[in-house]
Amino acid sequence: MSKTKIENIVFLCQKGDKQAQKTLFELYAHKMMFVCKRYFSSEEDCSDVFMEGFMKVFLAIDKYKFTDEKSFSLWVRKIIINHCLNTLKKNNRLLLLDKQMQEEVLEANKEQSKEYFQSQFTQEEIFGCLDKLPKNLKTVFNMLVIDEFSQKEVAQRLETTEGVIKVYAHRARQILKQELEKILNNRQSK
Amino acid sequence: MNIDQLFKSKLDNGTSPIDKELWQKIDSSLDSHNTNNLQQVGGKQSWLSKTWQGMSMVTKITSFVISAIIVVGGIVLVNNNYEKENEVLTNSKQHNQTIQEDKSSEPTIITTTEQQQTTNTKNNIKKENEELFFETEQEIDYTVDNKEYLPSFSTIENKEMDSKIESHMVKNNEPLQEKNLVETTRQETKINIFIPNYITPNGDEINDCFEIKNIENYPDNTLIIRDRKGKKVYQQNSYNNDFCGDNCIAGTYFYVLNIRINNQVKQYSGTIEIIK
Repeated sequence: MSKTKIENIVFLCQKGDKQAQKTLFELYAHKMMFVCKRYFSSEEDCSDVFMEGFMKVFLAIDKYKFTDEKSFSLWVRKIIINHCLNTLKKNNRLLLLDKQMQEEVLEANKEQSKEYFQSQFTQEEIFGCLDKLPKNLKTVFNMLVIDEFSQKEVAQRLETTEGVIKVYAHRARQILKQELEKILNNRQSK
Repeated sequence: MNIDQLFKSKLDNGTSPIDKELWQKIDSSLDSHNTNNLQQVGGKQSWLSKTWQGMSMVTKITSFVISAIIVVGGIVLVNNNYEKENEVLTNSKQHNQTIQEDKSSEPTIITTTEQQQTTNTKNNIKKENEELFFETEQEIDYTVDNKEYLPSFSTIENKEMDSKIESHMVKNNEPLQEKNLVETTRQETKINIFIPNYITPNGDEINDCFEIKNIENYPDNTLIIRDRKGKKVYQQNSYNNDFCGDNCIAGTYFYVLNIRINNQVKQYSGTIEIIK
């Protein structure tokens, strides 16, 4: 979409034009719904979070100063992610410290990464693996790896220490690796 | 690529199907939001006229009646005060008149009697004052039948008093020992358990199961867990922290925990949130 087209749509939305709002929705809804599904599980009803998040976008768009399409889509995504995190915080005590942490921190620092090939897996399979993560590990992994928050930002946002984040990311990767192995094994046995 | 890159690449731009209703819902939310805004901002109506318009007939009538009562009540009060003041004024005027009449007729006699009266009253006052003062030469006797009933830390010979006071007092000037007090007070058993109010059975071994801390110290117990409809989902005598929400959907559940100790049954109940 050309810059002027998106710019136009944003401008019209700021004026409250219904058609423009609908177009904006159609442009971003699918991706933003996927973001919500990443943070919540695919079985959960993400539509409430999604709707509230999108409402926030429409209400905040008045104050938005349009520069280019990429920053606009990042802005929309940021609003949705923030809303997801706020909802998670409200309904769920996300992060808990326990004694095993200290040993795990050491292990996490020694993490070796195995090589995987992009072509090996479909998006559904990858999403399925992510979906299996427990909620707190999933949130941390989402924020760190996919939405590219820094460790410091994640720790601040989830009100905990960077050490906890490291450990949670490490645990998440362990589980994801296991799931990926399972998929590969299943394929071989077929 | 490593695991991070793999996941990032596959999920960064993922899409998901959207229910068509969702736009309708957002649309109507936007509409109601806009109308709210208009109501707040719109028109140069004053606050009073707007609220007046907003009220139903009934509320209008009642508010009118109430304000009428207040006004009438106010008028009545003011009237009363005004009348009282007048009365006082007239009374005092009469009084003054009588006094003046007396004085004018027999001035000399009145003055002497007055003087006498004043001196008499002075004497009386002095006497009264004297009587009021406490004469503390005599010691106050707190004893009854020569036995002291002041609380003391010495042994009390009266054995009846002994048994009553024992639990509160000290024998033979010994320092107060908690042990003594506990033994004589009613036996109260303290149960020291901690019951969480949520579990997250997701395999991360943190709060995966309904773990009641120290329940192993009170093995004579029963635990019943019911779902929101009241259906029993778990029941166990001598519970051992093994309820992990198996075959349960996420949501709110209710627990009732009965612990029997020292021939008493203590009951704990509350909610558990199963968060998946």
